[in-house]
Amino acid sequence: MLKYVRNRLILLIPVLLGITFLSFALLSFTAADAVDMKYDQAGIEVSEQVKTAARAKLGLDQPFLVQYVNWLGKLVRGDMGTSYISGKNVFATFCSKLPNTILLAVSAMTVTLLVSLPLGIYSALHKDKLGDRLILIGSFVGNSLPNFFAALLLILIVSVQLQWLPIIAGKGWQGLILPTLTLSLAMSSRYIRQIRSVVLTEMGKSYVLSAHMRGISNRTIFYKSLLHIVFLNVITLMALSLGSLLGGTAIVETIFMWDGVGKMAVDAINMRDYPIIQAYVVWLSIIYICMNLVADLLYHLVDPRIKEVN
Amino acid sequence: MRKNSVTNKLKFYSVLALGLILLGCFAKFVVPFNPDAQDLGIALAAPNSIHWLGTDMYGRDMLSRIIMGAQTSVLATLLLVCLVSVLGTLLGVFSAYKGGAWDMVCMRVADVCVAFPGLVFAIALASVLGGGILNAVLALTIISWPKYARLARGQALVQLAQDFVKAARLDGTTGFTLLWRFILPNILDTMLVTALLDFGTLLMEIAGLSFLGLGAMPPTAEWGAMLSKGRSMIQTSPWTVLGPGMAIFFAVAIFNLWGEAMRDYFDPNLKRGSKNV
Repeated sequence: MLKYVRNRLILLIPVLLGITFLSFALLSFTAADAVDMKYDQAGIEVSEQVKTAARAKLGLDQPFLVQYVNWLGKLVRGDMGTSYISGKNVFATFCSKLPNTILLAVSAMTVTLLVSLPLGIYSALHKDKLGDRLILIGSFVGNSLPNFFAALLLILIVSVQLQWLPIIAGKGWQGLILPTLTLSLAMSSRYIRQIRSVVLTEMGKSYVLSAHMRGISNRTIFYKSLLHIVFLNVITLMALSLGSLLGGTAIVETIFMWDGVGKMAVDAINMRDYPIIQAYVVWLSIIYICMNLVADLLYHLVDPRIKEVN
Repeated sequence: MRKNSVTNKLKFYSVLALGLILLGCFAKFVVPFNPDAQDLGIALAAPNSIHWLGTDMYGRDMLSRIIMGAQTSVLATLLLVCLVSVLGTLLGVFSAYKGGAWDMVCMRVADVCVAFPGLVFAIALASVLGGGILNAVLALTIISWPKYARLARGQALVQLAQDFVKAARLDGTTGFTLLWRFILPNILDTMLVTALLDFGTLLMEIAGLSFLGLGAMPPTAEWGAMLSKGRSMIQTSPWTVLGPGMAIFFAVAIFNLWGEAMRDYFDPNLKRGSKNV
Protein backbone atom coordinates (compact mmCIF):
# COMPACT_ATOMS: atom_id res chain seq x y z
CA MET A 1 0.00 0.00 0.00
CA LEU A 2 2.71 2.49 0.96
CA LYS A 3 4.60 1.61 -2.18
CA TYR A 4 1.46 2.23 -4.22
CA VAL A 5 0.95 5.63 -2.61
CA ARG A 6 4.57 6.54 -3.29
CA ASN A 7 4.31 5.54 -6.95
CA ARG A 8 1.11 7.51 -7.39
CA LEU A 9 2.75 10.57 -5.87
CA ILE A 10 5.73 10.25 -8.22
CA LEU A 11 3.38 10.01 -11.21
CA LEU A 12 1.73 13.18 -10.02
CA ILE A 13 4.85 15.32 -10.46
CA PRO A 14 4.94 15.52 -14.29
CA VAL A 15 1.20 16.21 -14.37
CA LEU A 16 1.49 19.02 -11.83
CA LEU A 17 4.43 20.51 -13.73
CA GLY A 18 2.45 20.18 -16.94
CA ILE A 19 -0.67 21.95 -15.73
CA THR A 20 1.24 24.76 -14.04
CA PHE A 21 3.38 25.23 -17.15
CA LEU A 22 0.35 25.29 -19.45
CA SER A 23 -1.50 27.75 -17.21
CA PHE A 24 1.55 29.97 -17.03
CA ALA A 25 2.25 29.82 -20.77
CA LEU A 26 -1.40 30.35 -21.70
CA LEU A 27 -1.85 33.55 -19.79
CA SER A 28 1.62 35.00 -20.17
CA PHE A 29 1.37 34.77 -23.97
CA THR A 30 -1.89 36.61 -24.08
CA ALA A 31 -1.62 39.00 -21.29
CA ALA A 32 1.40 39.49 -23.59
CA ASP A 33 2.62 42.29 -21.51
CA ALA A 34 1.33 42.82 -18.04
CA VAL A 35 2.97 46.24 -17.94
CA ASP A 36 1.13 47.52 -21.01
CA MET A 37 -2.08 46.09 -19.60
CA LYS A 38 -1.63 47.80 -16.25
CA TYR A 39 -0.92 51.22 -17.70
CA ASP A 40 -3.66 50.87 -20.31
CA GLN A 41 -6.18 49.99 -17.66
CA ALA A 42 -5.05 52.82 -15.46
CA GLY A 43 -5.40 55.07 -18.51
CA ILE A 44 -1.89 56.48 -18.14
CA GLU A 45 0.43 57.25 -21.08
CA VAL A 46 4.04 56.57 -20.11
CA SER A 47 7.37 56.58 -21.96
CA GLU A 48 9.14 53.40 -23.08
CA GLN A 49 11.84 53.87 -20.42
CA VAL A 50 9.31 53.73 -17.63
CA LYS A 51 7.81 50.59 -19.15
CA THR A 52 11.20 48.93 -19.56
CA ALA A 53 12.05 49.68 -15.97
CA ALA A 54 8.71 48.31 -14.82
CA ARG A 55 9.28 45.15 -16.89
CA ALA A 56 12.71 44.64 -15.37
CA LYS A 57 11.22 45.06 -11.92
CA LEU A 58 8.61 42.38 -12.65
CA GLY A 59 11.23 40.09 -14.22
CA LEU A 60 9.48 40.16 -17.60
CA ASP A 61 12.79 40.77 -19.42
CA GLN A 62 14.08 37.36 -18.39
CA PRO A 63 13.90 34.19 -20.51
CA PHE A 64 10.56 32.42 -20.51
CA LEU A 65 11.67 29.38 -18.52
CA VAL A 66 13.30 31.52 -15.84
CA GLN A 67 10.04 33.44 -15.51
CA TYR A 68 8.17 30.16 -15.18
CA VAL A 69 10.45 28.88 -12.42
CA ASN A 70 10.17 32.18 -10.57
CA TRP A 71 6.40 32.10 -10.94
CA LEU A 72 6.29 28.50 -9.71
CA GLY A 73 8.36 29.44 -6.67
CA LYS A 74 5.89 32.20 -5.82
CA LEU A 75 2.94 29.89 -6.47
CA VAL A 76 4.21 27.42 -3.88
CA ARG A 77 4.44 30.25 -1.36
CA GLY A 78 0.87 31.32 -2.16
CA ASP A 79 1.90 34.50 -3.96
CA MET A 80 0.07 34.87 -7.27
CA GLY A 81 0.32 38.61 -7.67
CA THR A 82 -2.47 41.13 -7.38
CA SER A 83 -5.69 41.52 -9.33
CA TYR A 84 -5.56 44.04 -12.19
CA ILE A 85 -8.95 45.34 -11.18
CA SER A 86 -9.27 45.33 -7.41
CA GLY A 87 -5.55 45.40 -6.66
CA LYS A 88 -6.08 42.79 -3.95
CA ASN A 89 -3.94 39.71 -3.40
CA VAL A 90 -5.12 37.05 -5.88
CA PHE A 91 -4.48 34.02 -3.70
CA ALA A 92 -6.31 35.58 -0.74
CA THR A 93 -9.27 36.41 -2.99
CA PHE A 94 -9.36 32.83 -4.29
CA CYS A 95 -9.20 31.41 -0.75
CA SER A 96 -12.00 33.67 0.45
CA LYS A 97 -14.35 32.41 -2.29
CA LEU A 98 -13.36 28.75 -2.21
CA PRO A 99 -15.49 27.75 0.84
CA ASN A 100 -18.65 28.83 -1.00
CA THR A 101 -17.81 26.64 -3.98
CA ILE A 102 -16.95 23.70 -1.74
CA LEU A 103 -20.23 24.13 0.13
CA LEU A 104 -22.13 24.09 -3.17
CA ALA A 105 -20.22 21.07 -4.51
CA VAL A 106 -20.67 19.07 -1.31
CA SER A 107 -24.36 19.82 -1.08
CA ALA A 108 -24.86 18.91 -4.76
CA MET A 109 -22.99 15.64 -4.23
CA THR A 110 -25.05 14.84 -1.11
CA VAL A 111 -28.37 15.46 -2.85
CA THR A 112 -27.20 13.41 -5.84
CA LEU A 113 -26.37 10.41 -3.65
CA LEU A 114 -29.61 10.71 -1.66
CA VAL A 115 -31.64 10.74 -4.88
CA SER A 116 -29.77 8.35 -7.13
CA LEU A 117 -28.97 5.47 -4.76
CA PRO A 118 -32.58 4.61 -3.88
CA LEU A 119 -33.94 5.40 -7.36
CA GLY A 120 -31.19 3.50 -9.19
CA ILE A 121 -31.58 0.42 -7.01
CA TYR A 122 -35.38 0.56 -7.13
CA SER A 123 -35.22 0.85 -10.90
CA ALA A 124 -33.02 -2.23 -11.24
CA LEU A 125 -35.07 -4.34 -8.83
CA HIS A 126 -38.28 -3.43 -10.68
CA LYS A 127 -36.88 -3.71 -14.19
CA ASP A 128 -39.35 -2.93 -17.00
CA LYS A 129 -42.16 -2.05 -14.56
CA LEU A 130 -43.84 1.34 -14.73
CA GLY A 131 -41.66 2.89 -12.01
CA ASP A 132 -38.48 1.80 -13.78
CA ARG A 133 -39.69 3.25 -17.08
CA LEU A 134 -40.57 6.59 -15.50
CA ILE A 135 -37.22 6.79 -13.69
CA LEU A 136 -35.36 5.98 -16.93
CA ILE A 137 -37.26 8.61 -18.90
CA GLY A 138 -36.65 11.14 -16.14
CA SER A 139 -32.93 10.38 -16.07
CA PHE A 140 -32.73 10.63 -19.85
CA VAL A 141 -34.33 14.07 -19.76
CA GLY A 142 -32.04 15.17 -16.93
CA ASN A 143 -29.06 13.96 -18.90
CA SER A 144 -30.02 15.93 -22.00
CA LEU A 145 -30.64 19.24 -20.22
CA PRO A 146 -27.58 21.50 -20.19
CA ASN A 147 -27.03 22.89 -16.68
CA PHE A 148 -27.53 26.52 -17.73
CA PHE A 149 -30.95 25.74 -19.21
CA ALA A 150 -31.90 23.59 -16.20
CA ALA A 151 -30.96 26.53 -13.98
CA LEU A 152 -33.12 28.94 -15.95
CA LEU A 153 -36.02 26.47 -15.99
CA LEU A 154 -35.80 26.12 -12.20
CA ILE A 155 -35.81 29.91 -11.83
CA LEU A 156 -38.79 30.13 -14.16
CA ILE A 157 -40.77 27.47 -12.31
CA VAL A 158 -39.77 27.93 -8.68
CA SER A 159 -39.12 31.67 -8.53
CA VAL A 160 -41.24 33.22 -11.27
CA GLN A 161 -44.31 30.96 -11.44
CA LEU A 162 -44.60 29.50 -7.94
CA GLN A 163 -42.73 32.34 -6.21
CA TRP A 164 -41.40 29.99 -3.55
CA LEU A 165 -37.91 31.45 -3.57
CA PRO A 166 -36.54 34.84 -4.56
CA ILE A 167 -34.60 34.79 -7.87
CA ILE A 168 -31.44 36.05 -6.21
CA ALA A 169 -31.64 34.42 -2.83
CA GLY A 170 -28.27 35.54 -1.50
CA LYS A 171 -25.81 33.72 0.68
CA GLY A 172 -28.02 31.78 3.06
CA TRP A 173 -29.49 28.30 2.74
CA GLN A 174 -32.24 29.68 0.50
CA GLY A 175 -29.63 30.69 -2.04
CA LEU A 176 -28.14 27.22 -1.93
CA ILE A 177 -31.29 25.35 -2.95
CA LEU A 178 -31.59 26.13 -6.67
CA PRO A 179 -27.88 25.87 -7.58
CA THR A 180 -27.71 22.57 -5.69
CA LEU A 181 -30.75 21.23 -7.55
CA THR A 182 -29.31 22.35 -10.90
CA LEU A 183 -25.98 20.65 -10.34
CA SER A 184 -27.46 17.46 -8.92
CA LEU A 185 -30.04 17.07 -11.70
CA ALA A 186 -27.54 16.06 -14.37
CA MET A 187 -25.39 14.12 -11.93
CA SER A 188 -28.28 12.12 -10.48
CA SER A 189 -29.39 11.21 -13.99
CA ARG A 190 -26.01 9.71 -14.78
CA TYR A 191 -25.72 8.02 -11.38
CA ILE A 192 -29.17 6.44 -11.61
CA ARG A 193 -28.41 4.84 -14.98
CA GLN A 194 -25.03 3.63 -13.81
CA ILE A 195 -26.26 2.21 -10.49
CA ARG A 196 -29.16 0.52 -12.26
CA SER A 197 -26.92 -1.15 -14.80
CA VAL A 198 -24.41 -2.25 -12.14
CA VAL A 199 -27.13 -3.91 -10.08
CA LEU A 200 -28.59 -5.58 -13.19
CA THR A 201 -25.19 -6.86 -14.33
CA GLU A 202 -24.40 -8.27 -10.90
CA MET A 203 -27.82 -9.91 -10.57
CA GLY A 204 -27.16 -11.76 -13.80
CA LYS A 205 -23.98 -13.32 -12.44
CA SER A 206 -23.79 -16.93 -11.39
CA TYR A 207 -23.08 -16.34 -7.70
CA VAL A 208 -26.40 -14.57 -7.36
CA LEU A 209 -28.11 -17.38 -9.24
CA SER A 210 -26.58 -20.01 -6.97
CA ALA A 211 -27.58 -18.03 -3.88
CA HIS A 212 -31.11 -17.95 -5.26
CA MET A 213 -31.06 -21.72 -5.77
CA ARG A 214 -29.99 -22.25 -2.20
CA GLY A 215 -33.13 -20.40 -1.20
CA ILE A 216 -31.52 -17.21 0.07
CA SER A 217 -33.94 -14.32 -0.09
CA ASN A 218 -33.58 -11.44 -2.51
CA ARG A 219 -33.25 -9.04 0.36
CA THR A 220 -30.32 -10.92 1.92
CA ILE A 221 -28.54 -11.28 -1.42
CA PHE A 222 -28.98 -7.59 -1.97
CA TYR A 223 -27.71 -6.36 1.38
CA LYS A 224 -24.94 -8.95 1.77
CA SER A 225 -23.49 -8.92 -1.76
CA LEU A 226 -24.81 -6.31 -4.12
CA LEU A 227 -24.66 -3.22 -1.95
CA HIS A 228 -20.89 -3.51 -1.62
CA ILE A 229 -20.45 -3.52 -5.39
CA VAL A 230 -22.80 -0.57 -5.76
CA PHE A 231 -20.75 1.45 -3.26
CA LEU A 232 -17.53 0.63 -5.12
CA ASN A 233 -19.06 1.95 -8.31
CA VAL A 234 -20.36 5.04 -6.59
CA ILE A 235 -16.82 5.92 -5.49
CA THR A 236 -15.63 5.67 -9.09
CA LEU A 237 -18.58 7.71 -10.27
CA MET A 238 -17.92 10.40 -7.70
CA ALA A 239 -14.31 10.67 -8.80
CA LEU A 240 -15.36 10.83 -12.45
CA SER A 241 -18.00 13.50 -11.94
CA LEU A 242 -15.79 15.66 -9.75
CA GLY A 243 -14.33 17.36 -12.82
CA SER A 244 -17.64 18.32 -14.33
CA LEU A 245 -18.88 19.36 -10.88
CA LEU A 246 -15.95 21.72 -10.27
CA GLY A 247 -16.09 23.04 -13.82
CA GLY A 248 -19.89 23.21 -13.91
CA THR A 249 -19.98 25.48 -10.87
CA ALA A 250 -18.66 28.31 -13.08
CA ILE A 251 -21.89 28.54 -15.08
CA VAL A 252 -24.26 27.76 -12.21
CA GLU A 253 -22.61 30.18 -9.78
CA THR A 254 -22.81 32.92 -12.40
CA ILE A 255 -26.51 32.38 -13.01
CA PHE A 256 -27.45 32.28 -9.33
CA MET A 257 -24.95 34.96 -8.26
CA TRP A 258 -23.41 32.47 -5.82
CA ASP A 259 -20.20 34.08 -4.61
CA GLY A 260 -17.76 31.23 -5.30
CA VAL A 261 -14.60 30.80 -7.36
CA GLY A 262 -16.58 29.98 -10.53
CA LYS A 263 -18.38 33.31 -10.53
CA MET A 264 -15.10 34.99 -9.63
CA ALA A 265 -13.50 33.46 -12.75
CA VAL A 266 -16.33 34.43 -15.10
CA ASP A 267 -16.31 37.99 -13.75
CA ALA A 268 -12.53 38.06 -14.20
CA ILE A 269 -12.88 36.87 -17.81
CA ASN A 270 -15.29 39.69 -18.60
CA MET A 271 -12.80 42.18 -17.17
CA ARG A 272 -9.66 40.52 -18.59
CA ASP A 273 -8.30 40.09 -15.07
CA TYR A 274 -5.72 37.46 -16.02
CA PRO A 275 -4.05 36.81 -12.63
CA ILE A 276 -7.44 35.79 -11.21
CA ILE A 277 -8.15 33.44 -14.14
CA GLN A 278 -4.71 31.92 -13.69
CA ALA A 279 -5.29 31.28 -9.98
CA TYR A 280 -8.66 29.71 -10.79
CA VAL A 281 -7.22 27.30 -13.38
CA VAL A 282 -4.16 26.30 -11.39
CA TRP A 283 -5.79 25.79 -8.02
CA LEU A 284 -8.95 24.08 -9.20
CA SER A 285 -6.79 21.66 -11.19
CA ILE A 286 -4.57 20.95 -8.21
CA ILE A 287 -7.62 20.35 -6.02
CA TYR A 288 -9.07 18.09 -8.71
CA ILE A 289 -5.90 16.03 -9.04
CA CYS A 290 -5.60 15.59 -5.27
CA MET A 291 -9.24 14.52 -4.96
CA ASN A 292 -8.73 12.02 -7.75
CA LEU A 293 -5.74 10.61 -5.90
CA VAL A 294 -7.81 10.28 -2.74
CA ALA A 295 -10.57 8.51 -4.69
CA ASP A 296 -8.02 6.10 -6.16
CA LEU A 297 -6.56 5.30 -2.77
CA LEU A 298 -10.03 4.90 -1.30
CA TYR A 299 -10.98 2.52 -4.08
CA HIS A 300 -7.79 0.66 -3.42
CA LEU A 301 -8.65 0.32 0.27
CA VAL A 302 -12.22 -0.79 -0.30
CA ASP A 303 -11.45 -3.29 -3.05
CA PRO A 304 -8.45 -5.46 -2.21
CA ARG A 305 -8.73 -7.23 -5.58
CA ILE A 306 -7.07 -4.33 -7.36
CA LYS A 307 -3.49 -5.40 -7.80
CA GLU A 308 -0.74 -3.01 -6.92
CA VAL A 309 0.30 -2.25 -10.47
CA ASN A 310 2.38 0.67 -11.74
CA MET B 1 -36.69 -10.03 -34.61
CA ARG B 2 -34.60 -8.25 -31.97
CA LYS B 3 -31.94 -7.49 -34.54
CA ASN B 4 -34.62 -5.97 -36.73
CA SER B 5 -35.93 -3.62 -34.06
CA VAL B 6 -32.38 -2.47 -33.28
CA THR B 7 -31.78 -1.72 -36.96
CA ASN B 8 -35.07 0.13 -37.27
CA LYS B 9 -34.29 2.21 -34.22
CA LEU B 10 -30.91 3.10 -35.67
CA LYS B 11 -32.52 4.07 -38.99
CA PHE B 12 -35.11 6.23 -37.24
CA TYR B 13 -32.64 8.17 -35.10
CA SER B 14 -30.14 8.42 -37.96
CA VAL B 15 -32.80 10.14 -40.07
CA LEU B 16 -33.59 12.53 -37.19
CA ALA B 17 -29.95 13.32 -36.45
CA LEU B 18 -28.91 13.69 -40.08
CA GLY B 19 -32.03 15.80 -40.60
CA LEU B 20 -30.82 18.11 -37.85
CA ILE B 21 -27.37 18.34 -39.44
CA LEU B 22 -28.94 19.07 -42.85
CA LEU B 23 -31.13 21.72 -41.23
CA GLY B 24 -27.91 23.27 -39.97
CA CYS B 25 -26.40 23.18 -43.46
CA PHE B 26 -29.38 24.70 -45.23
CA ALA B 27 -30.70 26.90 -42.41
CA LYS B 28 -30.45 29.97 -44.62
CA PHE B 29 -33.07 28.62 -47.02
CA VAL B 30 -35.53 27.38 -44.39
CA VAL B 31 -35.95 30.42 -42.15
CA PRO B 32 -39.35 32.15 -42.43
CA PHE B 33 -37.85 35.60 -41.66
CA ASN B 34 -34.42 37.17 -41.93
CA PRO B 35 -32.91 36.14 -38.57
CA ASP B 36 -30.90 39.38 -38.29
CA ALA B 37 -33.63 41.83 -39.34
CA GLN B 38 -34.48 44.11 -36.43
CA ASP B 39 -37.91 45.66 -35.94
CA LEU B 40 -38.04 47.47 -32.63
CA GLY B 41 -41.76 48.08 -33.09
CA ILE B 42 -42.44 44.42 -32.32
CA ALA B 43 -39.64 43.88 -29.79
CA LEU B 44 -40.33 41.13 -27.21
CA ALA B 45 -43.63 40.16 -28.80
CA ALA B 46 -45.14 37.02 -27.28
CA PRO B 47 -45.57 33.99 -29.55
CA ASN B 48 -48.31 34.75 -32.09
CA SER B 49 -49.60 33.62 -35.47
CA ILE B 50 -46.92 35.52 -37.40
CA HIS B 51 -43.94 34.98 -35.09
CA TRP B 52 -44.62 31.48 -33.78
CA LEU B 53 -41.99 31.63 -31.05
CA GLY B 54 -42.20 35.38 -30.43
CA THR B 55 -39.48 37.97 -30.97
CA ASP B 56 -36.38 38.99 -29.02
CA MET B 57 -35.39 42.37 -27.57
CA TYR B 58 -34.58 43.72 -31.06
CA GLY B 59 -37.77 42.40 -32.61
CA ARG B 60 -35.95 39.59 -34.42
CA ASP B 61 -38.02 36.46 -35.13
CA MET B 62 -37.11 33.78 -32.53
CA LEU B 63 -37.99 30.81 -34.74
CA SER B 64 -35.72 32.05 -37.53
CA ARG B 65 -32.91 32.68 -35.07
CA ILE B 66 -33.31 29.22 -33.56
CA ILE B 67 -33.13 27.64 -37.02
CA MET B 68 -30.05 29.73 -37.84
CA GLY B 69 -28.69 28.75 -34.44
CA ALA B 70 -28.77 25.13 -35.57
CA GLN B 71 -26.18 26.10 -38.15
CA THR B 72 -23.77 27.47 -35.56
CA SER B 73 -24.43 24.98 -32.75
CA VAL B 74 -24.81 21.73 -34.68
CA LEU B 75 -22.17 22.34 -37.33
CA ALA B 76 -19.65 23.56 -34.74
CA THR B 77 -20.30 20.41 -32.71
CA LEU B 78 -19.91 18.28 -35.82
CA LEU B 79 -16.55 19.91 -36.50
CA LEU B 80 -15.51 19.39 -32.89
CA VAL B 81 -16.53 15.72 -32.85
CA CYS B 82 -14.66 15.07 -36.12
CA LEU B 83 -11.57 16.89 -34.87
CA VAL B 84 -11.28 15.10 -31.53
CA SER B 85 -12.17 11.64 -32.79
CA VAL B 86 -9.88 11.72 -35.83
CA LEU B 87 -6.99 13.42 -34.03
CA GLY B 88 -7.37 11.24 -30.94
CA THR B 89 -7.68 7.99 -32.90
CA LEU B 90 -4.64 8.71 -35.08
CA LEU B 91 -2.48 9.74 -32.13
CA GLY B 92 -3.62 6.77 -30.05
CA VAL B 93 -3.07 4.18 -32.79
CA PHE B 94 0.29 5.65 -33.69
CA SER B 95 1.35 5.65 -30.03
CA ALA B 96 0.41 1.99 -29.65
CA TYR B 97 2.34 1.10 -32.80
CA LYS B 98 5.44 3.19 -32.14
CA GLY B 99 5.71 2.64 -28.41
CA GLY B 100 8.82 3.94 -26.66
CA ALA B 101 9.52 7.62 -26.21
CA TRP B 102 6.75 8.81 -28.56
CA ASP B 103 4.14 6.79 -26.71
CA MET B 104 5.44 8.01 -23.36
CA VAL B 105 5.42 11.69 -24.34
CA CYS B 106 2.04 11.47 -26.04
CA MET B 107 0.37 9.83 -23.06
CA ARG B 108 1.92 12.24 -20.54
CA VAL B 109 0.64 15.17 -22.60
CA ALA B 110 -2.76 13.49 -22.57
CA ASP B 111 -2.52 13.15 -18.76
CA VAL B 112 -1.90 16.87 -18.45
CA CYS B 113 -4.76 17.80 -20.80
CA VAL B 114 -7.29 15.79 -18.78
CA ALA B 115 -5.92 16.92 -15.43
CA PHE B 116 -7.96 20.12 -15.74
CA PRO B 117 -11.43 19.65 -14.28
CA GLY B 118 -14.30 19.89 -16.77
CA LEU B 119 -14.58 23.12 -18.66
CA VAL B 120 -12.14 25.01 -16.44
CA PHE B 121 -9.24 24.98 -18.90
CA ALA B 122 -11.51 25.50 -21.89
CA ILE B 123 -12.99 28.57 -20.19
CA ALA B 124 -9.52 30.02 -19.58
CA LEU B 125 -8.29 29.13 -23.07
CA ALA B 126 -11.37 30.53 -24.80
CA SER B 127 -11.10 33.72 -22.76
CA VAL B 128 -7.47 34.09 -23.79
CA LEU B 129 -8.23 33.39 -27.45
CA GLY B 130 -11.00 35.94 -27.17
CA GLY B 131 -14.36 34.45 -28.09
CA GLY B 132 -15.51 33.20 -31.48
CA ILE B 133 -17.08 29.83 -32.11
CA LEU B 134 -13.94 28.39 -33.74
CA ASN B 135 -11.88 29.32 -30.69
CA ALA B 136 -14.42 27.56 -28.49
CA VAL B 137 -14.06 24.47 -30.71
CA LEU B 138 -10.28 24.68 -30.43
CA ALA B 139 -10.43 25.01 -26.63
CA LEU B 140 -12.72 22.00 -26.34
CA THR B 141 -10.55 19.97 -28.74
CA ILE B 142 -7.57 20.43 -26.46
CA ILE B 143 -9.37 19.03 -23.42
CA SER B 144 -11.31 16.30 -25.28
CA TRP B 145 -8.77 14.50 -27.51
CA PRO B 146 -7.05 12.46 -24.75
CA LYS B 147 -10.14 10.36 -24.14
CA TYR B 148 -10.05 9.18 -27.76
CA ALA B 149 -6.28 8.79 -27.83
CA ARG B 150 -6.34 6.57 -24.73
CA LEU B 151 -9.23 4.49 -26.00
CA ALA B 152 -7.73 4.06 -29.48
CA ARG B 153 -4.33 3.20 -27.98
CA GLY B 154 -5.84 0.49 -25.79
CA GLN B 155 -7.86 -0.95 -28.66
CA ALA B 156 -4.88 -0.86 -31.00
CA LEU B 157 -2.67 -2.63 -28.46
CA VAL B 158 -5.21 -5.46 -28.32
CA GLN B 159 -5.26 -5.68 -32.12
CA LEU B 160 -1.47 -5.56 -32.40
CA ALA B 161 -1.25 -8.67 -30.20
CA GLN B 162 -3.58 -10.64 -32.49
CA ASP B 163 -2.21 -13.45 -34.63
CA PHE B 164 -3.38 -12.00 -37.93
CA VAL B 165 -1.49 -8.81 -37.23
CA LYS B 166 1.62 -10.77 -36.27
CA ALA B 167 1.27 -12.76 -39.50
CA ALA B 168 0.95 -9.55 -41.50
CA ARG B 169 4.06 -8.20 -39.81
CA LEU B 170 6.00 -11.38 -40.57
CA ASP B 171 4.88 -10.88 -44.12
CA GLY B 172 6.70 -7.58 -44.13
CA THR B 173 3.72 -5.26 -43.70
CA THR B 174 4.76 -2.23 -41.66
CA GLY B 175 3.94 1.34 -40.86
CA PHE B 176 1.05 3.06 -42.53
CA THR B 177 -0.18 -0.01 -44.43
CA LEU B 178 -0.34 -2.12 -41.28
CA LEU B 179 -2.25 0.52 -39.34
CA TRP B 180 -4.56 1.43 -42.22
CA ARG B 181 -5.44 -2.09 -43.38
CA PHE B 182 -5.29 -4.19 -40.23
CA ILE B 183 -5.68 -1.97 -37.15
CA LEU B 184 -7.97 0.93 -38.04
CA PRO B 185 -10.81 -1.11 -39.59
CA ASN B 186 -11.02 -3.19 -36.43
CA ILE B 187 -11.29 -0.32 -33.98
CA LEU B 188 -13.42 1.96 -36.14
CA ASP B 189 -16.80 0.89 -34.76
CA THR B 190 -15.72 1.49 -31.15
CA MET B 191 -14.41 4.93 -32.03
CA LEU B 192 -17.53 5.79 -34.02
CA VAL B 193 -19.90 4.77 -31.22
CA THR B 194 -17.87 6.73 -28.65
CA ALA B 195 -17.87 9.81 -30.88
CA LEU B 196 -21.64 9.65 -31.41
CA LEU B 197 -22.32 9.11 -27.70
CA ASP B 198 -20.27 12.26 -26.98
CA PHE B 199 -22.04 14.36 -29.60
CA GLY B 200 -24.77 15.60 -27.24
CA THR B 201 -22.37 16.36 -24.39
CA LEU B 202 -20.04 18.31 -26.67
CA LEU B 203 -22.99 20.26 -28.07
CA MET B 204 -23.89 21.25 -24.50
CA GLU B 205 -20.30 22.27 -23.80
CA ILE B 206 -20.08 24.51 -26.88
CA ALA B 207 -23.42 26.08 -25.97
CA GLY B 208 -22.14 26.48 -22.39
CA LEU B 209 -19.07 28.40 -23.54
CA SER B 210 -21.29 30.58 -25.73
CA PHE B 211 -23.59 31.13 -22.77
CA LEU B 212 -20.61 32.53 -20.86
CA GLY B 213 -19.85 34.79 -23.82
CA LEU B 214 -16.83 32.71 -24.87
CA GLY B 215 -18.30 31.15 -28.01
CA ALA B 216 -20.30 32.67 -30.83
CA MET B 217 -20.13 36.46 -30.99
CA PRO B 218 -23.18 38.66 -31.62
CA PRO B 219 -25.02 39.02 -33.92
CA THR B 220 -24.43 35.34 -34.82
CA ALA B 221 -27.46 33.30 -33.80
CA GLU B 222 -26.34 30.57 -31.41
CA TRP B 223 -28.48 28.72 -28.87
CA GLY B 224 -26.25 29.23 -25.83
CA ALA B 225 -25.71 32.90 -26.59
CA MET B 226 -29.46 33.41 -27.15
CA LEU B 227 -30.22 31.83 -23.77
CA SER B 228 -27.73 34.11 -22.12
CA LYS B 229 -29.37 37.17 -23.74
CA GLY B 230 -32.82 36.04 -22.69
CA ARG B 231 -31.76 35.42 -19.11
CA SER B 232 -32.35 38.98 -17.92
CA MET B 233 -35.84 38.99 -19.42
CA ILE B 234 -36.93 35.67 -17.97
CA GLN B 235 -39.64 37.22 -15.78
CA THR B 236 -41.31 39.26 -18.49
CA SER B 237 -40.56 37.32 -21.70
CA PRO B 238 -39.88 33.68 -20.84
CA TRP B 239 -40.10 32.64 -24.54
CA THR B 240 -36.68 34.20 -25.15
CA VAL B 241 -35.28 31.49 -22.86
CA LEU B 242 -37.62 28.58 -23.54
CA GLY B 243 -37.16 28.55 -27.35
CA PRO B 244 -33.38 28.20 -27.57
CA GLY B 245 -33.32 26.06 -24.41
CA MET B 246 -35.74 23.53 -25.85
CA ALA B 247 -33.76 23.58 -29.11
CA ILE B 248 -30.62 22.52 -27.22
CA PHE B 249 -32.56 19.94 -25.24
CA PHE B 250 -34.09 18.30 -28.32
CA ALA B 251 -30.84 18.37 -30.25
CA VAL B 252 -28.95 16.77 -27.36
CA ALA B 253 -31.70 14.20 -26.84
CA ILE B 254 -31.71 13.23 -30.54
CA PHE B 255 -27.94 12.87 -30.66
CA ASN B 256 -27.90 10.87 -27.40
CA LEU B 257 -30.56 8.49 -28.73
CA TRP B 258 -28.67 8.22 -32.02
CA GLY B 259 -25.47 7.30 -30.17
CA GLU B 260 -27.26 4.72 -28.03
CA ALA B 261 -28.95 3.19 -31.09
CA MET B 262 -25.58 2.99 -32.82
CA ARG B 263 -24.05 1.31 -29.77
CA ASP B 264 -26.85 -1.25 -29.59
CA TYR B 265 -26.44 -1.93 -33.30
CA PHE B 266 -22.72 -2.63 -33.09
CA ASP B 267 -22.78 -4.36 -29.73
CA PRO B 268 -26.15 -6.00 -29.11
CA ASN B 269 -24.88 -7.86 -26.04
CA LEU B 270 -24.17 -4.67 -24.20
CA LYS B 271 -26.71 -3.73 -21.57
CA ARG B 272 -28.41 -0.36 -21.88
CA GLY B 273 -26.51 2.40 -20.19
CA SER B 274 -23.58 0.34 -18.97
CA LYS B 275 -21.10 2.28 -21.09
CA ASN B 276 -22.56 5.61 -20.13
CA VAL B 277 -20.34 6.86 -17.34
